[in-house]
Amino acid sequence: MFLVRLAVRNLTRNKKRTLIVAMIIAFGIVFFVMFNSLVLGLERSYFDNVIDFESGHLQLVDDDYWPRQDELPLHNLITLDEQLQQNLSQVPNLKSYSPQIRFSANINNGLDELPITAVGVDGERKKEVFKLEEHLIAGELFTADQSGAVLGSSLAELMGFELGDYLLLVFTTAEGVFNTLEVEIVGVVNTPNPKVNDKQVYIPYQKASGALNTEDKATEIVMRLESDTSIMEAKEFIKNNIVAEIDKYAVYSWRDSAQDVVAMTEVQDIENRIITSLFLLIAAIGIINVIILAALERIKEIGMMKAMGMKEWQIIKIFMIEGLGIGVIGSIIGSLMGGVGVYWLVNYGLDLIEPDFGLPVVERTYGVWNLSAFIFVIAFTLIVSLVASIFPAYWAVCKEPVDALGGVN
Amino acid sequence: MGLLKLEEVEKIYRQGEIEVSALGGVSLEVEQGEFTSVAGPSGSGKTTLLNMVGCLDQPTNGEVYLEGEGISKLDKDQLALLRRENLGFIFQGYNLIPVLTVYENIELALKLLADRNNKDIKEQVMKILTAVGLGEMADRKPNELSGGQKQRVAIARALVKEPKIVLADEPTANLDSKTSIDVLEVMVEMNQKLETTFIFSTHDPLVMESAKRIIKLKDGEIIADERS
Repeated sequence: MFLVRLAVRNLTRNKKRTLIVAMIIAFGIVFFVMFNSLVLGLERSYFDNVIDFESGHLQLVDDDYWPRQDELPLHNLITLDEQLQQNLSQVPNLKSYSPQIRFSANINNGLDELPITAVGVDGERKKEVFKLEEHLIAGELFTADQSGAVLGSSLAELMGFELGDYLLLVFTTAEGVFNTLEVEIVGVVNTPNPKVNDKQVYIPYQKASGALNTEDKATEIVMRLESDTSIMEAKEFIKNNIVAEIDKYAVYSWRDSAQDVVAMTEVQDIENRIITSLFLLIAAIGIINVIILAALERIKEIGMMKAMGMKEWQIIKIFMIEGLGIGVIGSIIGSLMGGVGVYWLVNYGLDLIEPDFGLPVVERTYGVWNLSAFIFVIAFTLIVSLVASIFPAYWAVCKEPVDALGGVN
Repeated sequence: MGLLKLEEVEKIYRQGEIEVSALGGVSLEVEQGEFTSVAGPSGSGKTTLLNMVGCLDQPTNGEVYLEGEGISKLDKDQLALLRRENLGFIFQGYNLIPVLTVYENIELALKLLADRNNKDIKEQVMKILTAVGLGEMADRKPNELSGGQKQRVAIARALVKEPKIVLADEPTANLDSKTSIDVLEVMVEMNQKLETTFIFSTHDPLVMESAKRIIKLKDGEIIADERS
């Protein structure tokens, strides 16, 4: 304990120097926890957008359709027959499911034409799986027996469409024959997902199926579960009870269908760690600098302590505790400041205007609390502080006591 | 064999290709309770001799024996242990730790020794502080003391563990004559009370007057060894 007391007192010898290095550490911690909070918040938004507007929690598809799904083919489709409906009703924690048929089309307003993704959906089922209805800014979602189209706000604005206008969809059927469909716009949605806003048009499932000549078949059946935590259980159930019976079917989670987004968030996480490591490297250099300066200033003291019979490792221990002490001060300041910063991100968020990363988020981004980030960065800081002090301390105590005391006559 | 014995101790320093002999074959014996002064002009080898005796440096040739045991075969940790248990040091520049109080500076010497409880440590520290006349200043920091008081603290720190030998390198060099007399009186008293062996390096006539034995060095060799 005496050595600890001595080391702690030593930190007060040059308060400014101690504080400057501690502040560098603190800023590293603040940066890490805030960036981590924001990345996790952004990640949460990305993932919610994928689940709420693109894939649901799970998708049941034909195994041959899945690898080519980006091309929106109309082959290898899936039939929602009575047996399948019965099997799906037994999936644990299943809240709702909906068949949908996605196909590529051009939208035409009489003057201009744009390529879009058209989605044939059952309006009633759709609103139980996806959150389109919550984001309607005009009109309403069509019901099963209605006709009509719902489109994204940006697309509507770009094409000059308003409620009640008729849009023309130009597409090819399952047999490769050109066809057109004219539908009245009954709703406009403005969602947090830019993909939906920019290039999606929803039309009734039966109408799409008839126009495409897909014989009531769907490109996928999207499913929403009661909670995110039951995905694996439900997926396993479907694998064992549905896919096992119809082996050309396959079940994928939202993560499988949003691999690009998942990969991007992983890259962001790596970036976060690299930047933080750089901060902490600077802090480590600061600590090495502080310990070297302290050792140089106290070289006679070191000689005196060795003369008194203190062993080298005991002196190294003093310097290591000093390094650790700087780390602890930096960690406390950094955690408090970081806590305030994360609180602000969680409650007020940041307005990341249209990030051009191809990530499905357009709304204000809020941070999330992540206690493990605090624990990780503090533990990392303390280890770095401890390790950074070993070398200069070892260098200082390696001197012979007589040289340290300057006692050569 | 006496408490301390030096046998043909030589110390040669190398500065590049030049060899400088700081001690040239010094032999001497010191008995328990002696109050010895090593005198000589600057560069005569006083501090080098003290460094050898204090196990702070190893001789180039020859051997130093402490209670009959040669020190040249000991490793760093064994030497540290030997210094911790047997030797006390008083430095010209006091070398007190500025962030510790007077009490804590002395306490440090005892904390290094095993098997001491806090109560015993406190008793011993206060006893030695009272003995050197600083009983009331235990809570002061070194920067709140005069030069003489600092040197008394250094003496107390060297003596508190009751070492066999106290080595003092120019202990009065930074003190005025009145303070030097005070400090010397303390050391003489401790020598008489505790029978601690004192070895000083000095060229201060006051210190030499107090010594019972004066070893005179010149160019690294003993030119006189006088007992009073």
